[in-house]
Amino acid sequence: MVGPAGEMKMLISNISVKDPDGKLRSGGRGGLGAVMGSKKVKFISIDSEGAPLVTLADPEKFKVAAKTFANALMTHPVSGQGLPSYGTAVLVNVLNEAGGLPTRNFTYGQFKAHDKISGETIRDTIIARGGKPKHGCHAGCIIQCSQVYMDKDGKYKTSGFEYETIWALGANCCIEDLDEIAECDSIMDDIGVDSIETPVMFAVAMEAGVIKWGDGKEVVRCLREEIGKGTPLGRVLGAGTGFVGKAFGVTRVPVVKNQGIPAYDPRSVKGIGITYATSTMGADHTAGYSVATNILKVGGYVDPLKKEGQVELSRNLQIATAAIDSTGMCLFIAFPALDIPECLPAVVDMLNARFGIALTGDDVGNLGKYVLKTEHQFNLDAGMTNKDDRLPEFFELESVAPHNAVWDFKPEEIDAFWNF
Amino acid sequence: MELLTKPTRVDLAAADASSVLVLAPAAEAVPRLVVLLSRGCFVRCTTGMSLRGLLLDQFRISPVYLEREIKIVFLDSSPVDDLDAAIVRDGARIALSAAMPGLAGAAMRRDGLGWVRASITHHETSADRPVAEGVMLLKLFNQVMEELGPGFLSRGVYVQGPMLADFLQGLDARFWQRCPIGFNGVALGPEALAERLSGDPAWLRLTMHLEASNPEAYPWR
Repeated sequence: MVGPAGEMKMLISNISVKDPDGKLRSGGRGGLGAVMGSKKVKFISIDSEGAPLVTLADPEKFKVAAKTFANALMTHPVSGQGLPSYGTAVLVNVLNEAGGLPTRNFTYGQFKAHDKISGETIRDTIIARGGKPKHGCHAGCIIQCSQVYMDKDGKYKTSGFEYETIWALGANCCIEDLDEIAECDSIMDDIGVDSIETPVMFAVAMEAGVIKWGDGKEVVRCLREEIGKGTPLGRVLGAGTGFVGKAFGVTRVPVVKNQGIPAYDPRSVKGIGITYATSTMGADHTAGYSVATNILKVGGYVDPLKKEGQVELSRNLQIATAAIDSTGMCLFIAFPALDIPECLPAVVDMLNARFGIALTGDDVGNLGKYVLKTEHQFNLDAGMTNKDDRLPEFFELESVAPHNAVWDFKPEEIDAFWNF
Repeated sequence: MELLTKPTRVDLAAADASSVLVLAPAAEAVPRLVVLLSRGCFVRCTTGMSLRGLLLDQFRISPVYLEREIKIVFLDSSPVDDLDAAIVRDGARIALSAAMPGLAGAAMRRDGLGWVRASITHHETSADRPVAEGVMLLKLFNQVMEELGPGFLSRGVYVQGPMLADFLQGLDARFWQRCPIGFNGVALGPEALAERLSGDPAWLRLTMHLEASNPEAYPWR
């Protein structure tokens, strides 16, 4: 389904689905809500009554592989402990400490109120208010990194309160009040806008002086009264980060291919910068998630101390991630897949047992390559060039404290990404 | 930007002598108090040691726990790969964390993809190892905070009044109902404590007593 933002074909709009509790879960990024809006499709309802059950070509083999896979997820410290306990916002404190938490529209790498918006504080607040610190966003989930966040009166406010959303409104817009951030998250679900693109856009609007830094109440009002109702200002804001930068004459505009850059400063963690630059949909942190490239055999040896190593890593991660995405599985299976040798083979075994096929690790890697090349060719056919695979200039010109790091990859070094 | 001022020796001595705060939360309320360590507290230490020496010998963390659970270590905001080479100096800032998700999380790990963040990795550049009594800022995150935090708070940490007041105001009445407060041996209510802390930038020594284990430790109750 889409909200009013999708109906108005705003570029920050997304497509949402209902979770097992009837709450909204959103497929953000890319402005897909506008696609449904342009087709005048408000929602799609599926009636599963009378539908056939999923059939398994080899039920016994599937059961064995699924058990191995589930054990890997449950025993890994990230998918079995960190994520279920603190959610994805567990990254706030760590990224802040590393100086990689973009703050005040990517001006700094640390936020003085980091602990007020951290996964640790969120967990503490949720428990104190009678919410759920651990919650699955779909049936059968065993990681349960989602949570149910309550307001000060103990009433439901939002769920799936993610790191990216909290970072973007918190550190990047300098909003310190977790309840104001939760209110924004709830409204963004209601009106159907991407909770990364929208707050990254708000930070640019703050830099332009449209809204004061840290003014959570004004962000709430703009979401509800301007974007939600499609006023002239709302239409400008609803066109996304890049457009707002142009409209208000801001030069520090964190976008790649006109998509807002997510929550990791590429000057501090440069491997992620390569992924931002080259990911086919624009700056996308999930395109290069950690996956066991050695198991998929899409890698080969690279010298990690050279820049080629960073490009090679990003390429391998994007290939592997494209393959995992193609299975429809949650990307968070990547963590045990990185560390537990039997995890990824178990995924391949499950696919084979489900469909009666004989995929190998090489096949899965080749699938990822095919996906990535097809997406890249789509972009080229649409008129994009290698010049679209670049980070904004300010990352090269402005160093970020506390490490005073800058982005220093040359264009030809980035272009080598597509040599496969 | 995050700026934290280090206490001087005079500050620490004054805190030990005349600004001693004891909180005695019920066991189920302890997790709410240890979140303070994610903001950062100062602890006394002997400088000039390696980071491994500090963690094992001074902090009394078991070698097994260090290897299995503490996957990310920061020294002065830089991720550390070599705990033996990194030297702790007066005023150091140290943060400890369990394994984290994502490429960024893997990049921060000691046994992860450290080269992805090579430009911010800690490199020991000086042979200077002054051994002396000093103070350092300690931050604990996630499971490490939950598991090691009570021990650090029980041994005592140093914080400035307004910072602590800001943290404590986020704790609700239910917490305070189960947490007796003692300031310099005198019982205080939460409102009186907040008033005292917020208006005084002086350093104080905060110690947590576990109510169930040692009820005689707070006769001011």
